[in-house]
Amino acid sequence: MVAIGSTPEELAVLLKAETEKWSAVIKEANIALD
Amino acid sequence: MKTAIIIDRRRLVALAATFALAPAVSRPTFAQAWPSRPVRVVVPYAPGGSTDTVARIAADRLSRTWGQQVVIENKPGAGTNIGAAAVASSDPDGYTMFIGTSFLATSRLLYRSLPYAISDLAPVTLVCTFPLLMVVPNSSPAKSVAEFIAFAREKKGKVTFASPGVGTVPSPH
Repeated sequence: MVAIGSTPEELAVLLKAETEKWSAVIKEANIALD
Repeated sequence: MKTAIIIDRRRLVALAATFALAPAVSRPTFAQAWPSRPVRVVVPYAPGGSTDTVARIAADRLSRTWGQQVVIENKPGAGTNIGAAAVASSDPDGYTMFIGTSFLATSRLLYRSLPYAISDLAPVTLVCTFPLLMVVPNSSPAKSVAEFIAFAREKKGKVTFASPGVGTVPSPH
């Protein structure tokens, strides 16, 4: 585990990037949890 | 995997400043303003998991820094949506926080509807990263990711996958 701090803005950028990255994977694999 | 602290968006400005400035400002100054009573941190997983462990370590340090109790409240279920919804609908007073994973970034892609709007929550800080592991039985013919992909394609529909549960980071990823 690596402890990391960030500003709120940096975390917002990270969350946006994670959403974009996994969005393509989830759509391509047609994954749904409900 | 990434673990982060999120809070009701309406408190973003106040808490972001507090997190950023707390080490550089004397405790009495903050004690008079915030927090003046225990802070609740919602963990959307059961006790004992990685996120819960990180939350308890962070809560201990924050308690000592702030001079107030930081109480962990586990609200597992529905793929973290129960915990996130509880924070999103909490009073916007800065005393309820959420510590979750990057699953928060993908939950709205995986569920047709959520009991909260992602815009109700605001980021505070990234806490840590830690690795996710993929393992196979010793008896598996696959000894690498490439071999596993080839194996799974060959045995399409017959390969099973285990994760800590629906809504955990390894589940959809």
